[in-house]
Amino acid sequence: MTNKILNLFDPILIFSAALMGVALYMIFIWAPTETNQGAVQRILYFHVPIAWGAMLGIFVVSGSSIMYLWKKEEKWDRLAVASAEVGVVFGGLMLLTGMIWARPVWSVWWTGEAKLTTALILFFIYVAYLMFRAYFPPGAQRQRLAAIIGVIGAVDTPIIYFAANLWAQAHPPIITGPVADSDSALGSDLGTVLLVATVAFSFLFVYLVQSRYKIRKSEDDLVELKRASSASVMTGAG
Amino acid sequence: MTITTNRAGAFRVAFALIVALSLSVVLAQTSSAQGNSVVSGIVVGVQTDESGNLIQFALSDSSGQVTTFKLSAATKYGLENQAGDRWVSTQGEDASEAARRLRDHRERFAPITVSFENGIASSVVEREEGKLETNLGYLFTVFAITWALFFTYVLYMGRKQRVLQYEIAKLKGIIG
Amino acid sequence: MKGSLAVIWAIGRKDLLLEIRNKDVVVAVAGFALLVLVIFTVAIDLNQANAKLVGPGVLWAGIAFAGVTGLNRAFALEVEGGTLEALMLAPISRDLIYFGKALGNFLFIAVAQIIVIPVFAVLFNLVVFRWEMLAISLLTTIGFSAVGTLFAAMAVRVRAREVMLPLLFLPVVVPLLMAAIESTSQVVNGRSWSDMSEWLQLAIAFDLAFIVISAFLFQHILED
Repeated sequence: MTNKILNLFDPILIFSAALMGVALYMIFIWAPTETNQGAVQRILYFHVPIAWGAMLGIFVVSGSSIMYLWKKEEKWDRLAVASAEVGVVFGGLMLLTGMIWARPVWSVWWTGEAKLTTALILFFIYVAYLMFRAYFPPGAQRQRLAAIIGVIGAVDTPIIYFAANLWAQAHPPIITGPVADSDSALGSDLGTVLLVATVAFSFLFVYLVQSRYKIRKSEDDLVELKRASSASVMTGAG
Repeated sequence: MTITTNRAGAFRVAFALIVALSLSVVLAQTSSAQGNSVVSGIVVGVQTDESGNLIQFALSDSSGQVTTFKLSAATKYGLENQAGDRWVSTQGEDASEAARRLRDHRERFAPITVSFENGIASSVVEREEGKLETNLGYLFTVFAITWALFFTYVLYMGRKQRVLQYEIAKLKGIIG
Repeated sequence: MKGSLAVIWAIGRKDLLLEIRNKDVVVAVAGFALLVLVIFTVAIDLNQANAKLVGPGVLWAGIAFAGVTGLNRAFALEVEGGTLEALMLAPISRDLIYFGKALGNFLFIAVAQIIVIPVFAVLFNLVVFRWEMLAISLLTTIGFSAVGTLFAAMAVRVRAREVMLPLLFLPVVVPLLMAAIESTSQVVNGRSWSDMSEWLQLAIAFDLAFIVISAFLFQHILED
């Protein structure tokens, strides 16, 4: 039981950090400055991988929620809560970095664009998931009910996206900017940097989820120990 | 023993992620990559109809070449006044304010950026590339916030872990 | 099949009788929604153009918020009376309990809308009495009660249920709200079915998906 949870020498973390270094080098030095958006475009090399991490979070939460309802095994619940928490951290960062990028490029912090609306609503659903867990007394019932929210979120995702798309057609978001509508011609360089950054952030995601999972496990161990200790005190007294 | 199997599992997951990622990025790259042209410069002429609605305007770029742009109802505007307040709208919504703003830009020699297709402007905005310092500010903010938040989250987990380990050790002492 | 319908109706009727006696839920929902409408008529300069622009949004946002209050109230009564435990002891399938409860909630929200929508038409000076509006109202109410029944049964077990239910319920029903608001604004602009068919299809898909999935998931709430 001496294994440290936040192990700084975890191979996943080391690999992630190394890749992150490469990604940072590529983002700031190797990648050419985008002609139209200028320096701000480099935000995307962070924003897109973080958004990918948030999406991974949703996938893992819904998948493991379904598995929990089916198998009723603790590990699925632990995985669900770990990835929900990490997913919300990634999601919040995705919204923040997206807004900061949009201000100079689209000239607005926020607009009714389909992807933006969907991301924001999903973020709120998973925040509600975590709040529900925080309010509910621990036990099998909490795990079941939380898994229900996880499944509902997964069912809602495509419907939200479809609705947000229809909505954006009815109310075209006002997006103005030097190149708001056109893609840049940086094609292959952009793809390479994005790939490296995305892999780096994926490893960071895996590392964080794994750490949160282990903490969740020792929380359960603690509850178990408390039960055992109170039982031993009782037998000692009797 | 259990730890090694855990890590092997995590690596397998990570490997699957990489494969999925590479595929998605390659697919994303093969799509898209079209764009319209962009020109920056100062406004040299603004023409309106009798009710003050903007019909067309002329722009002089850095080499002194003057281009005239026509507008469509979908033309988007994002223009600031001298105080830096940004006005965002479209030609269809408020063509007379567009004329006023462009005249203001002409008087101030404030540069704008126009993206266009076949001589029709699709967006007319404050020139952004000129403001390199503010843009670098945005870039810096993003990276600072990202790392601060990740770091805070790791600190939060670390604190949680310390408390847990302390309590577990204490309880084990009681039982043992 | 006939037996199941009888069970659903029996549970729904029990809620309805209780409601007719003390009028707790409908008064809460209708009162809340009407107040939202009145506050907005004061807050917004309601000329004809503004009314058409913001009216549908105000109406459905009001009904959604009011619906949350009503759902909370309905399940709070259930817990106070201990009737949910009694229902669980009864030898009936869990999804029938869900449908019975959802039927009750559907009727409450529907009755509240019968009061709220005419008042909306008067306050905002809009023409809404059309078949299209009835369809929109029905579809939205079905969706609200399908999702709301599941979440209210969950939230009622939490310390801060007044906070928890809206946090769970509102983000999930956003697509349905969008459908209701968009189709209603087609109605007040005098357009007909074909202009809102996509939104109505979306609402139908939402309703079907959540009726099936909620009925299936409901058993996991009651299981102990």
